[in-house]
Amino acid sequence: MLRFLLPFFVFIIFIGESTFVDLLHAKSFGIDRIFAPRFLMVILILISSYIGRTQAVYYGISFGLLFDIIYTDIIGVYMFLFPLIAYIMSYIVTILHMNLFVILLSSIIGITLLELSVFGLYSLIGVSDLLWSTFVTDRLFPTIILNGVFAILIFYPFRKLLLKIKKLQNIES
Amino acid sequence: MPQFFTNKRLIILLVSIIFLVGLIGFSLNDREKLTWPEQFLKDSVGWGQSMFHQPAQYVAGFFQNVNDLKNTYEENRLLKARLDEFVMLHEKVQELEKENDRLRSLLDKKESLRQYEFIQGTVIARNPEQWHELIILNKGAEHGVEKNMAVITSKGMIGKIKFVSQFTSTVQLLSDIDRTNRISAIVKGNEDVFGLIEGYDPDEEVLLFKRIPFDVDIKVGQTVITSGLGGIFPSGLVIGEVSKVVSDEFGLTQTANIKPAANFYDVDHVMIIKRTASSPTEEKTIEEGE
Repeated sequence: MLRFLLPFFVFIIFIGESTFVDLLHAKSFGIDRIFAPRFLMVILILISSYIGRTQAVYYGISFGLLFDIIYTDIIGVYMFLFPLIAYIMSYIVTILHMNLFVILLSSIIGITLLELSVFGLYSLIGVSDLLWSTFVTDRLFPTIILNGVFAILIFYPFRKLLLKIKKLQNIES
Repeated sequence: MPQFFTNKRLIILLVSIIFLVGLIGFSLNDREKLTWPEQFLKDSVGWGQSMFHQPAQYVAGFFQNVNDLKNTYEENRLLKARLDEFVMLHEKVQELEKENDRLRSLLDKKESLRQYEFIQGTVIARNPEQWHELIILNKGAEHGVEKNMAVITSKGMIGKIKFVSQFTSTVQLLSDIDRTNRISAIVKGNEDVFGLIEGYDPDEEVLLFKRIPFDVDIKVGQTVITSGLGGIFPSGLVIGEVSKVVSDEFGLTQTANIKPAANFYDVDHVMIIKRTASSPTEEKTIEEGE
């Protein structure tokens, strides 16, 4: 039963992203910046740090594909970026000790990489014609702040859950 | 660091890049229908989304209601004053409708571009990445929704249907920055001005009604509605009102900035419009051409 807990939880976060954007949109508070919730990416970085690289890549591929099919019509963007960034960020854990500050830093780097790649890809295809300077001030900084706050809030409870799951997986294997 | 790119990893990376480019290329074409695995995934996740979204919306609505209670007395007073105007307008509209039906039957004209039926829908999700403005509704092909149907809220038009699966559909809002997003519209005034709404300006949050001839007189505050001449939307749906008129860089045409009547950020219940007048189908036009 506990095996399905982690996929179910990530799925709840997946739905929570869209509900967050629908209900707490920045424009309704009068702020003119774009706060894009990237909670899935933060969760994937946490999974790759605590549970393992391959599992995080599998989660990344499946949830990336799900994200692409449901929210965009260009399939393959997030299916590629989620596992790639989770994979890259897992190397930070081998170098540095895992605590809140390191996880926060790797989440911020991961989110920045994700936003930059998506911005670059969409500008290349021609879907968006946002300028670089506008992108940085209006989108990148607010998104980093939002996801940084999310990473801080979710770090302690989620870490306990992940350690428990990892222990269970070690017992099983 | 050079040991990072072992042969195996390099091959995996290259194969996945090729696969990715193929997948992007395939999905980038303007597809008419979604493949069935996509539809299945959309429906399944849509079911989960609707279950999660309704209680969340209920909670948010509760907070909003508490906030609204503060202004209720003042709002009530203002609304009572406007109610009399509304009653007169209602009477006049009924008279006009009756006369219209009578004249229409005299001319033996059965269809009108204005007629439509609607399907009620609720928003269950919104695109979180905000590069596209897309919302997902809980009505799909099973309920009669088809691609390119107009979607309105009680205040005005908000967008059109972009993808349809069996039980959910995706709406592209008018504020989406897509160059192919065009709507045939009329500015209602002493003389009606026909044209196309061709884009959205996200800084000023206005729709752009371009290529109006320079000798046409457009005033701020005039209402803009759909014309129905595009073949897909019915006529008469409110889009917004003119907020500013500027001339373009060469001085040959004017561009009107249109402030949308609907609120794109607080969307909950929508109506999907199904036009009852017939639309030209592709087969017919090809036959006529030959």
